[in-house]
Amino acid sequence: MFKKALHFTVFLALLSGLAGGALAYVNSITAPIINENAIAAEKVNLVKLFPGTSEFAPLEITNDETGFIQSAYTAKDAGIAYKVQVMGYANPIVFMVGISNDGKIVGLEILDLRDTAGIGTRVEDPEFKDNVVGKTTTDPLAALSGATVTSGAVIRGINAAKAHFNDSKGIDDGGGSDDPVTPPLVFGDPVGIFSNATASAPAEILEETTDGDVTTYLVASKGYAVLEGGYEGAKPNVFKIVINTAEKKVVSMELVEFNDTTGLGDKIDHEDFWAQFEGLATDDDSIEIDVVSGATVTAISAARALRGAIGE
Amino acid sequence: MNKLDNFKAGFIKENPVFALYLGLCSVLAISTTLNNAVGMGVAVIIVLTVSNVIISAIRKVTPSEIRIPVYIVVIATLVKIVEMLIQAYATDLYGTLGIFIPLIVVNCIILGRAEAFASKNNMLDSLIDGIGMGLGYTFGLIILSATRQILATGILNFSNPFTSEMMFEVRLIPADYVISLFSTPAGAFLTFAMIAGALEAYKSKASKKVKEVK
Repeated sequence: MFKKALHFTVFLALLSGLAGGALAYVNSITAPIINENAIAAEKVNLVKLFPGTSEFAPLEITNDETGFIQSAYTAKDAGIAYKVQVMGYANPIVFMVGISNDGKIVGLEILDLRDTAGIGTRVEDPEFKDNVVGKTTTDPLAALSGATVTSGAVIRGINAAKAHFNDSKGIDDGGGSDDPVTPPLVFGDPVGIFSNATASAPAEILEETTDGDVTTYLVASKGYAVLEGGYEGAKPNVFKIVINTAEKKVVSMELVEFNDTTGLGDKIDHEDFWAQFEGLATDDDSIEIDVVSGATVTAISAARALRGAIGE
Repeated sequence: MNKLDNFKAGFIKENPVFALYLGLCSVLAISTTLNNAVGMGVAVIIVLTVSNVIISAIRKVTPSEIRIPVYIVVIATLVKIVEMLIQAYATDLYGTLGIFIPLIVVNCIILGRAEAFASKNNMLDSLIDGIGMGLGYTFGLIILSATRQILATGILNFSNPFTSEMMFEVRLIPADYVISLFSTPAGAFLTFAMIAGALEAYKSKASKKVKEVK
């Protein structure tokens, strides 16, 4: 019985060994040709990313934690092209991004995109590409406002390629996040803090605490919901304003309670918007900020809150 | 059974596709163009013939208790080799056949011939059986594919699988009169049933004639 089992084992092992040998031999012949075919199929896109380069070699990706990178090719003396697949709004998006050897994103080619026409497809527009191409691998990339799901997915994919590139070249990206940064604000017209626009509906100071030279105000200021929406139970927005009374300067400003339209008015809750307030002189009545396009009324409510905190 | 009968059996009487209904999964799936049919057919002929010969050669040393795993190892190795060769030298064909190339491993024609024929006959007979059955499979596949391609697109064409160069192309049905249903799985079943039925009718008529003569 034991002898029989041994006989079977040896027979199958021998056969499998022979089979393995045959496969290894055929593989050694066909693998280079298959590789070349794969590059030939991608070459159309590779040349778009690295015009003027004709020598490409496949690059094995081993340390991609995100799993987004499908394949990569080194362009001789030029850089690396990554083929990336990410999940978009409804369907997977396949694209290629080229990174030059000096760490610049040189091209973005969207290969397969089936997201909503007119919204997700905006990642193919120059508006998005210009935002990406030319950046270095350590620059943060912003999603497209209004198409955040699709553009965010593409950026997560680009970030995976950037991370791999930085890793392989030993570039320190400060452990850059995988997520896209919030899109930059589009500012509208400037509005004076002490202009007529802020005079119409005075803000109300809810709380005032002083700690040495620094005074912190909690200010309720009527925004779109109260002034123009006219909803029942509409509430003003509440801002926290910190003012240094000795230097007569605004230290910081933030949104504590938001009661206007979600998706519009809350655009003002952006570092670029708050940065405008920092350092404004409280004894100068010509100070002004730029409102946010699409969130004008809410932005003016912020200006009004500051006026309320500074006082007349 | 002499060698010629052995060879001919695979074509009509024991045609693996239309008479034995073997290996239909891949047949129904890939029979949309003549190119697919020829590519798949050649792959199956190679695997079937070589596996038949190898299995016949080792039939005396193969312990009968483990013969099925042995057959599978032989067949899987051959299929993988054929797959790598197709991927390297006929990329377009590899793209269209895709998953159905590795699935040749579980194509019952091959395991069926190994078990029913090659394990009991000498190498020469097994070689002839492999070629005959493989050609029968290819023949069936070509008829099904050509019918579907003509009905669904109105065009019959064939391109060189190694260079993708078009070798011939004829339009048989004007573009306004094609039935695209035939390129879908439903069309595969319809076409298959009609051809299998016609073959059955021919066979029963032929056997009646033989009886009348007697």
